Amino acid sequence: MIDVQSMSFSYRKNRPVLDRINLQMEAGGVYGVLGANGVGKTTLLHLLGGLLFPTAGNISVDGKKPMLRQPSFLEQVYYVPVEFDLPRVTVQAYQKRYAPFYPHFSITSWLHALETFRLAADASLSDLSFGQKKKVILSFAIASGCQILLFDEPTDGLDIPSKDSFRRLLSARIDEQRLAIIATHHVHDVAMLLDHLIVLKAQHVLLESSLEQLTTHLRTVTTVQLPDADELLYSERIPGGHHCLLRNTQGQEGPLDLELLFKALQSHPEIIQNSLPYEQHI
Amino acid sequence: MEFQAQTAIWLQIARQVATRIMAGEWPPGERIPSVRELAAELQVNPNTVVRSVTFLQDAGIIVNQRGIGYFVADDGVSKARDMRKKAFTEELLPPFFKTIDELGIQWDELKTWYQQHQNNSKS
Repeated sequence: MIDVQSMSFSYRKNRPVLDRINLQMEAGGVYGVLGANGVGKTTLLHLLGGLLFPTAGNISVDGKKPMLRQPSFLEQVYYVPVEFDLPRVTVQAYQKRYAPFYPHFSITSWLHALETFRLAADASLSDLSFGQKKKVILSFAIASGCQILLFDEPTDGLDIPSKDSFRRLLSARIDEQRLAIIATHHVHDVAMLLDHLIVLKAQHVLLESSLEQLTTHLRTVTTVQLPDADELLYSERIPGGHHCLLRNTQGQEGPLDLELLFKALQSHPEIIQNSLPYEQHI
Repeated sequence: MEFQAQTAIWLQIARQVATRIMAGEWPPGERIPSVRELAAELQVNPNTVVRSVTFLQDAGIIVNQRGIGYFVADDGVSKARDMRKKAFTEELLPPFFKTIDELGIQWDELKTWYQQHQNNSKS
């Protein structure tokens, strides 16, 4: 559904943020995009949504070029940014104003999302806190019926029950026609929703893999004593012992703590080449 | 929901559903919630639940009725117990025995504790 070919982007000349990256994403998937601050996660979402244009290379989203911003493309893409300004209208007026741009918008889903988030339709957006505004935008995204949902830090600003609500609402909207991309630092908040992982590092895609592949080859455990050096890829001390990333040699998928994997990749990116069977570009 | 960390999530979900079948939440012949309903309840990706459900079907605990959903098999409760028992003997007993050896605990001691436990749960 999304095909990124040898795509580069730079805000300033000769200082690429993304350098000739390739990415393929399929409908039906929920992709997590991880990366350190400033590595280009938001930039990537902007490029996919047609808000920025590639300096070189190509992006194809459902056969269309985002930079052309054709209505047939825009009506199928919804982007939830980290920060936003909303008009000084009520929640309901906001929906009435913007829903017509999305032909598959579902009023039923919208009302259900508002109810789940405990948002009042007659509340004025200017009176709402950041977290409540975020919930309005998330509700809109979930009800939009768009095939492509782009989330930048969707759980930022949400209180704990609202994070549950978000997961429940999004989970119910995942289907074979839809693609969701979630860029985040709070990987624990969304880990159970993801089925693919993309890790960006230093202008490149460090890792692109299905979680099924990852959990077949890697697993995490918490142990009192450090396991065999043979299996051990990375570990950190915790009060009860060690939190370890291991090569998975058990012949069945294990649990995988994505936050630990991410930390391991920051300091030891070579782990991937040494423990995954397929080619990764570092 | 928090998942215990020692097995893959889809397997944890399968075991949870098996446990709920054993507890009688859905008796034999009754429909269990759909993949979509379970995914939303557990806040996980529906594809994960598809794997759990396929696993339960392969184990004969639930049966698929095309277009309607998944139903608890007639012998689903005993099959669910078999599955949980297998997981228990393969995954929980080895570290348990290892700890017993490490601490030099005798069978008689264990037996006393088990009896105490039974008395406690009765009262």
